[in-house]
Amino acid sequence: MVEKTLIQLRDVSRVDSNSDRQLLRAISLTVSAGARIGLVGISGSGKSALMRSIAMLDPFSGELFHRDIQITNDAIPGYRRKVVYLSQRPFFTQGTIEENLRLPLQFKSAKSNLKSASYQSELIASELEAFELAPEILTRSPESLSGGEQQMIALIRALLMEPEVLLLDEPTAALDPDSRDKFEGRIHKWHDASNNLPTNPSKNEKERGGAYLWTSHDPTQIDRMTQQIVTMNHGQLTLTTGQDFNPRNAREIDGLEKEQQVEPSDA
Amino acid sequence: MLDFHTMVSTMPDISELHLLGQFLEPRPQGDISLSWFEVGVAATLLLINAIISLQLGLGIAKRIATSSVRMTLQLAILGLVLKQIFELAQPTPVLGLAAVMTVIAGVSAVKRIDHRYPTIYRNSIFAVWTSAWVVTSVTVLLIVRPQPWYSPQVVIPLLGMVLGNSLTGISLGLDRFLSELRNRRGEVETMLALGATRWESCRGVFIEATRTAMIPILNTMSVAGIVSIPGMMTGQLLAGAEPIDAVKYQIMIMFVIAAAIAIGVVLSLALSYRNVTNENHQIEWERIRRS
Repeated sequence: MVEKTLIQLRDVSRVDSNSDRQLLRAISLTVSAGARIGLVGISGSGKSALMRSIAMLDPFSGELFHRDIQITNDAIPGYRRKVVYLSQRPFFTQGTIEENLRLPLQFKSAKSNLKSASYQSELIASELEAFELAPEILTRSPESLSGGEQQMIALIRALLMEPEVLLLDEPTAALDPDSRDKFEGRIHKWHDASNNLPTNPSKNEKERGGAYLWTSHDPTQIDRMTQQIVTMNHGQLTLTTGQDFNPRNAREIDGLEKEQQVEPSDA
Repeated sequence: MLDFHTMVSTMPDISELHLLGQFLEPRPQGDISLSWFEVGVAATLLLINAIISLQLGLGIAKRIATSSVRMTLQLAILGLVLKQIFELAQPTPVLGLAAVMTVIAGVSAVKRIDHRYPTIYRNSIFAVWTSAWVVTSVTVLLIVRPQPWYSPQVVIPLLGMVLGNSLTGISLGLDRFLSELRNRRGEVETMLALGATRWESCRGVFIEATRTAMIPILNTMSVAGIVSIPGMMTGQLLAGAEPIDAVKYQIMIMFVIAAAIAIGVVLSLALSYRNVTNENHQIEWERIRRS
């Protein structure tokens, strides 16, 4: 099977114009369909800057291609629905959880996506169930939720847009182990479903091959969740490993052995 | 500083003056000019404030002194300039003074703002200029219609009042817009990350800033005539105008001021929104800096 390229970065650089600090230095990176990339490096090495640039949230120099097409101006909001950035700390707007979950579906970039409201309700209900969250949560306000619940809602909100690529910026750093396991489990399920064709006959060729980038200061999590590791140092990609690593064995590999691959973190 | 009628209205109440100086000659009917000695009597009232401040250690005695001196000098200069311009009775000096007043208002609007971006002064001056001049032109040319059209005693006080209010509104609006954008950065950016356009992500902040900027004039309008007799009307009554005439002028000027604020605020916010976002639907956070 030929791996389809979802995202390609060419010589992406970014300078913070306030401090003149170079956050990203000529980064070239390819994200293929189905890729599970662990992004590691110490704080300030540019992991977040890279993810934010892939989501086109910050101005940068260089080129970014999505399915071989360079994304510009008006196509960017639609692109961000396909390549979703999830921050470590989830944010919500005023209103209930349900209003927050429906918010992205009301943006102009969602208008081409004709889905009935009832279909979304069923989807939301099943998503809540997957996280063992009671349906009553929909009427609550975001501030009344725990950090773990908030992050699960943020993930549901992202998945409702049927993304191709998830950019997970230390998504579980602030979560308790139980919430972390649920979060990881849901990402696994999403990745399997979007890469496993027979179980998902409704998807057309274009929608296959969900991929994600994951940053974490926890080497064992990088082992569990990713199959390819990219190390960042001073805004540069310094090391890429694990390309021929078998994802089926990911859970069995000894954490200690892998710690040498992953740069020691400052966590 | 630029408001001619506020100058008139900040004069002490006539009855107060009479009470203070029963030995002074009663003023002839219709004569409202004050001697500098009489102004000095009003200044002594502020001494009470200064004494209280010194006694309680409020630490504002110096500010009371500098503000008083500053106000006196500014208004004295304004008086001299106006005297010259009134005597000249030519359009160019009137428009020249109006232009200077407008630029000062545009710059002053930015002075009290905590967060700024590089082109904020240009935008503020443009917004003040456009809103105040459009609204004042309509007022002078279509409503008041003085002869000649550039009559300084009409144009300058009207423009001054419009500018003073417009700058307050723009200042409040910009301050709220930029600080709120920073405070709600996570929320705004999350919307962008979920496919919002730059306008969809900033709309809530924009609306809130507009609302904040409009609140003072709406409050003023709702208490006008009950709690306060507005400055322009006070001035006209002191000058011997018929109450009904003074009221009509005051109502007119309230509408005019509200319109100027609305135009100035929306314009300054729209320009700011364009300057801190870009066509790639990004917010250029690095441009917004604490001043």
